[in-house]
Parts: sequence; C-alpha cells; structure tokens
Amino acid sequence: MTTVTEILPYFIHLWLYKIKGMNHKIKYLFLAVTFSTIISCSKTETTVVEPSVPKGFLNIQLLHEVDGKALIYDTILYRNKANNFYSVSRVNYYITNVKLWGKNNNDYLFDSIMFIDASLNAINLNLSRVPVGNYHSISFNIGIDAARNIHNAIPNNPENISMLWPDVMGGGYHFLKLEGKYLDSLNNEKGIAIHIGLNASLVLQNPIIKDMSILENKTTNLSLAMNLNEWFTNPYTFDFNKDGNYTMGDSTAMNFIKNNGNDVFYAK
Amino acid sequence: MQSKFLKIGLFLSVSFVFSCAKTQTDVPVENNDYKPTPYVLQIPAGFPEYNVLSIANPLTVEGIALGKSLYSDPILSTNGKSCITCHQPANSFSRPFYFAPNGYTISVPPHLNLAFKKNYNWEGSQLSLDTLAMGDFGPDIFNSDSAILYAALTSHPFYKDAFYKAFLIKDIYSLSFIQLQKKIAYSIAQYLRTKVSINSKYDQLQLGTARFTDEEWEGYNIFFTEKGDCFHCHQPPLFSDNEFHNNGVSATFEGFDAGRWLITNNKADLGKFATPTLRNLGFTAPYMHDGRFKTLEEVVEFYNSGVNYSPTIDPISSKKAPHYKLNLSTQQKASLVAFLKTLTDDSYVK
Repeated sequence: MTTVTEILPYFIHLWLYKIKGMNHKIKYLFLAVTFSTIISCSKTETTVVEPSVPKGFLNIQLLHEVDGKALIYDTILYRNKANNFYSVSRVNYYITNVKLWGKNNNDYLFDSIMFIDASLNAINLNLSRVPVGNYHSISFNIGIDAARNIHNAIPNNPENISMLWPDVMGGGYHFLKLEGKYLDSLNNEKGIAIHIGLNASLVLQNPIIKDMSILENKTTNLSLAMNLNEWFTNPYTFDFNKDGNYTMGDSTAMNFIKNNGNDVFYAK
Repeated sequence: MQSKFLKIGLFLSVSFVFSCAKTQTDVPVENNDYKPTPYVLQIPAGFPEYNVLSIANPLTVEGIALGKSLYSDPILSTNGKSCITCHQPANSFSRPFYFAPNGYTISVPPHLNLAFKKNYNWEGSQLSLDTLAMGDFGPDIFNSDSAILYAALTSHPFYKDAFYKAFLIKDIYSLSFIQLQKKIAYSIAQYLRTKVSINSKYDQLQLGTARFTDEEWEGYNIFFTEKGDCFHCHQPPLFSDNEFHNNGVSATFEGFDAGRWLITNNKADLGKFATPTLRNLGFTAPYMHDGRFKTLEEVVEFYNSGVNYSPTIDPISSKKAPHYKLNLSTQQKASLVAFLKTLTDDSYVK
C-alpha cells in the first residue's frame, strides 16, 4: 500500500511549484489549505485498515542473456546489430515500481527499489502480499523515479555503493551499468561503459506476458529475460565506433540507449 | 634532596599504578549478572553498514577497550612487534612498505573505516573483520608463543581481568591457543570498528563548515566527471567501491602483481586489486599495491600519461585504448592533487 510518507515528496514538490509567484494573502491561504489537506490525508491514511483481500506471492526470476543464450562474462563472444564484437563484464541496474495490471481494475504496485547484479547465480524478486486475482500484464522501470533519484535517497550498501551519479553531472544514481570490452575498427580492445542515469533516462518495461493468477498463499512464478543486445538495437542501431563506447556525460548516446531499452525484457 | 624527590615520586607512581590497577581489576567476577556494556557505533550518513554488526562479536565498551590496548601492545609477540608496527598512527594506521617473506613488497593499507568494507587486504584475502588479525600470530609477524602469551596476559594488571570484562572469560587458560587468538582478534576488530574517519575538508564542505579554493573546485570537477573519471572506482563516501579492478598499473603480473588471482585462480582476476580508499591519502604514501609511486603527483601523472593494457584491464580504464590517457594540463593535474588532499583527515592521526 502506498503510504503518506511515500507520496509526500511529490506533494511538497508540487506545492513549492504552485506557491511560486503568488501574492502573500493567496500564498498564506494556499498554505493553510495545503496543510489542512495534508493533515486530513495523514489522518485518513493512519486510520485506513488495509482491506482484508486474500494475498499470494509472485516470484519473478530475472535472467540475462544475449540473443537467447545465457550470458557468459569476460569473453568477446557477442555481436550487436552494428557488427561490434563485444564482451560483458558487468551488468548492474535498478528495478523500481513493479506494477501488476489487473483484469478487473485490481492493479497492484510494488513500490520498492531493487538493485540487480546480473552476475549472481539466481536473481529472484519475491513479491509478497500480492492481492489474489487475475493480472494481464506487468510493468516496471529500469532506473529510479525523480523523487528518489537524489544523492543518498537510497541507503548505500556494499553492493550498490558504486551506483552514485555525481552531483556535478546531475546527481542521483546510475540506472544501468553495462560494461565490457569491444574490438574497434582497428581491432584494438577497448572498454565499453554503457551507463545511463538522470531522470530523462528512466526506461519503462512492459513485457508481454500471459494472463496469470495469484492464488491465496500460493506462489506464482514468472521468468523475465533481459536480452543485452536489445540495448543496441531497435529503434536505433547503436555502433560503439560511431556513437561512442561510453555514454556518461553524452545525453545523445544515453537517449539512444534509453529508447532502445524499452523492450530489453521479455517473458520466457 | 634529589633522592627524597625520587622517593616521593616513586611512592606516588606506585600509588597511582595501584589505584589504576584497582580500578582495572574492579570486576564483578563473582557476579553472575555482569554483562559487558553494549556499544552503539554512530554510522556516518551514507556509509554502508556491512561489517558494522557482528552477531558473534557484538560491540561492547569493554571489548573495544581490550582491543585498543592490544592493538599497540607488543605483548602479543615475541619480537617486540604489535599491530602499530605495520599500522602506524602517523600514517593513518598504515605503513609505507611491508617486505613479506615470500618476496612481495606491499604498501600496507590504512586502518580506517574498516567497518564499512566488504573485504580486506589488497587481494581481498580476508572477508571478515572479526578474524582479520588471526593471521598475525604466525612467525612472519608476531611469532607468538602460546606459553609466553598466556603467562603475560594472566599476570598483566589490565589483561588478567579484561577478557572477563569483554567476553566473560574467567580463565584464559580454559581457551585453546586458537580460541585465545580468536578472542584477541575479536577485541581488535571491535576497536577497529570504532576507527571512523569523517572529518576531512571534503566532509566539512558537505556540512557547510569549510570552503574549497578555486583550485580544489577544479580538481573536484575533474574527479567527479569523465574528465578524470576517478569517481567510478573511488565513490564517496568511502572513496572506494569495495570492488576489485585492474587499473592498468601493470602490463604483466609477476608475484604480488597478480592480485586477486592469488585468491581466486580465475584468470579474469589477474592484476585486480581492491580499490583503496582515497581518504587520508595525504598520510598513506607511497601508492598502489606495491608502493611504486612516491607522491600523489606521480599517481596523477600515471593516469595522465596512459595506463598499461592487459586483457583484464578494467573497461573504465580502457575506454580510450590502446592507452587510456587523461590528457590534463599542468594546472589541471595540480588541481586534481589539491582536491585529493582535501580527503585528508588530520584529526584522525592525532
């Protein structure tokens, strides 16, 4: 359930925007109304009892592959659409705002930030307390929404501590780090660092899934695979030689990757 | 006259020692309700909680006191060495060089902010802070002797009761030598968990209590942008990402240069080392795993002139192959050094 503390930053942001340029009397009136509303919202929130809808579990298994084959690290095995031969040494990213779309308007939002290290053997997102029902699709973001894409908004841990995006470059977090090597046009081995961040680079995923049912106290399994080559394909054929082998600080390159990334996940 | 003063001095000293000893030995040995005093470590904002809490070795006031005393006490060795032999306070608890018996030359990593690290030593040979000191009792470092150590600890005015105060051990002779080493390592780990450095000029800037010069700002901008690209590995607040990288310092890997490979035997790890923190680097010269660079200027020049290619070089260090160069001007290099010096916490070494 979304709580007041989760949505409060949005209201504060909106409120600060709204009061700009108001004259004093209107500003005070607006302020009074706003806080009355917040207080009443808070009160409502704290007294609301979560409907006793039966709950089940959804286990989302995340897989990482290149064109249907499981990812193998540190070897130049892969070729993208631009005929760049490349290897992968790191795939780190955040998943946020997982939403299940119900068949009867019973949508369910799992409002959590999950750091993913693709090198781990098994990656399972365990969603508990999912309302029982039938769902026809799933959506989520690769990246972090604007309200939380702020330095130190997420607790650091040893796994995600390398994801900060420097304030001087816009702040927040890396949404994706895809690193490895490729062979340039002179056959030199060069690093690739496909990094995206900043609010404009949030990548929406909406993989097509079969209808699924969540049953009371039962676990429903769903497998989603990321095809790494999709980051470099469709709609734009990304060429490391032409478009760059690192993207941070290059808004054009990040935008290509972001737009290509909308369909990197598919249901297995 | 002089003799009289000496006698008075001696009397006062002995009285003082006895009064101290009485305080130290004021242990409720017979009191079954006695428990060590829990200690809560204040974690600076943004620091990752990794090795902060240990179920097997919870922080206590008495455990920290024991560890602090043992850290600088040669009582653990038969050769006069203690932890501070290699972790000298003036060097931010590091030492320029350690010449290992196997021929490796190692720049000793500093002891600071260890509670927030994922692994220890350049090649990541230790995963637990609790047992980090266990490797020091052997002939290469302390050359400890069990009989001498038991006797020295039980006859010492502080240590004879300190193990009870810290760990409820009434008789250390009831411990095997390995168990005793473990308790010693535990207490030292507790002390090290409290060694937090967070008072550099950079930290003060975050708090609004210090200002950077124009040169430091220029260095900051180089550090935190693709211009210098230092931040990808040296991420604040630790100024380390807790990971292993081959930064291109070597082209071939003999001996200790093999780095992480020495632990994993995975060829993908050849030449990789744990990213060192840059905090207090003003006190921790020389630099790199083998101390090959004497000054910060030499380090910056290394990255500026081009790193060495090898198959395991980090993608970040090889974005502009074949030789990744920063191509900074003389002033920009000086500015980067000026910024790096803002990571020095003078209060930590006092």
